[in-house]
Amino acid sequence: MKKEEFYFQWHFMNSCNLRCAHCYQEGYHFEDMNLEQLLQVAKEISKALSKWNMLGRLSLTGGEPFLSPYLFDLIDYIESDDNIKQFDILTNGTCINDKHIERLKAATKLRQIQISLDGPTQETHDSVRGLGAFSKVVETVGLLQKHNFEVSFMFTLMRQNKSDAVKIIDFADSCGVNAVTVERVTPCGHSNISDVLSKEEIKDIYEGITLRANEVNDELTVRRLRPLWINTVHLNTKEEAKIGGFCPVGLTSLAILWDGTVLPCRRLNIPIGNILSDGLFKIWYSSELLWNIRDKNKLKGKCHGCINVERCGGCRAIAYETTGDYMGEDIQCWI
Amino acid sequence: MLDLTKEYKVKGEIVLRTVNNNYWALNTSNGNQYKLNEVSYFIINQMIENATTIELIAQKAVSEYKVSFDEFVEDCKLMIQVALENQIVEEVRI
Repeated sequence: MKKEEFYFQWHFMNSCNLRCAHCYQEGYHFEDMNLEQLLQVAKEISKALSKWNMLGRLSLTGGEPFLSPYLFDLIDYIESDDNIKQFDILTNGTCINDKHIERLKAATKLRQIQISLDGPTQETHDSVRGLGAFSKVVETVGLLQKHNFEVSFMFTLMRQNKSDAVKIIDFADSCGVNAVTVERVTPCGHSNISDVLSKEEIKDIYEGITLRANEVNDELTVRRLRPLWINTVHLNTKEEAKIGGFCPVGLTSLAILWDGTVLPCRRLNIPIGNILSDGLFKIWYSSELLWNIRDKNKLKGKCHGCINVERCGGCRAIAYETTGDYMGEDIQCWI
Repeated sequence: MLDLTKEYKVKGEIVLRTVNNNYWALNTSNGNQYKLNEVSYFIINQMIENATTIELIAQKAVSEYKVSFDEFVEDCKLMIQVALENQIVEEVRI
């Protein structure tokens, strides 16, 4: 029988070489874990997966993961652990060098390298991430593709780059990357409410992306198994089943920060415990927040009783940061 | 053999949860999960705050369910036996 999967987004360090305008981190000057502590976290993850009879999917990220001296120690651990099926690396794409490439080639469980891209031009991307970031990303994409790694883009949609949202699909297509994800900014960390687009703006952009995604190369996946995308399902001419998805927060996913703090999701910035001091079982079974989120009947506003709840449910992080209530409605929903 | 007047209590590492008519006892220490039915949940829930006896649980049950005292006592004994074996509850020795 096929095992279910559980997703961990593990921000295993927070050091970073960039200072992005919308970064969810609140600071950069903390002491990252040592290797012994990191392996303790990894083993705690593995123990939970084993008990739940599930397979783990991990995203290793930071900060900037390629700055960590322990990235490849963690990869070695993942490769040796049968409870972990695969992993991704989420990076800003500015620090990957030939030595990294050689070591990554040996990683059999590496599914993809996801690069954050906030615009298809130097002007937009660098305005969010700093001068020189765009050209480094382009260089890195070429390097990774030369060595046949799967590459995807993560585009964080906000006021500053809204006019580039549809163009990012064409750019991804022209780069020959495998996938692109468009995710709405959450106003936390360095971002704020002025970055958040209105529901009318989101509607126009989501529909524009959908229409463009219908036309692009089949080898490019525009990932839309996320809240709100179900509202575009009538426009999709291919892969309708892959449109819209209930957020897995509280059900099959968790985020872990550099100091072991556990969040329901990286963008839902409400700590629910610490993996080293509490352990995953206590957090997963005891958190009132998780139990509330698991109960769709507790959703409020237009999300409560919505006909699309099974394939949407709204984004709890957006709800929390814009209404103060993580069970509140997703204010960017246009239906 | 379980005695009607012995006291039992849910162990400290166990949490009880219910969502949409699904009931669980969850061990926060070793990760074990136990899916319960409504009556099992009712029984274990009586022992979550304070230690109590099968007799007291059965007295409360007859006021909430259409069941005889003796019938419920037998079900309750079975349930608590299973709960003891799975370390969900423990006997409180006075």
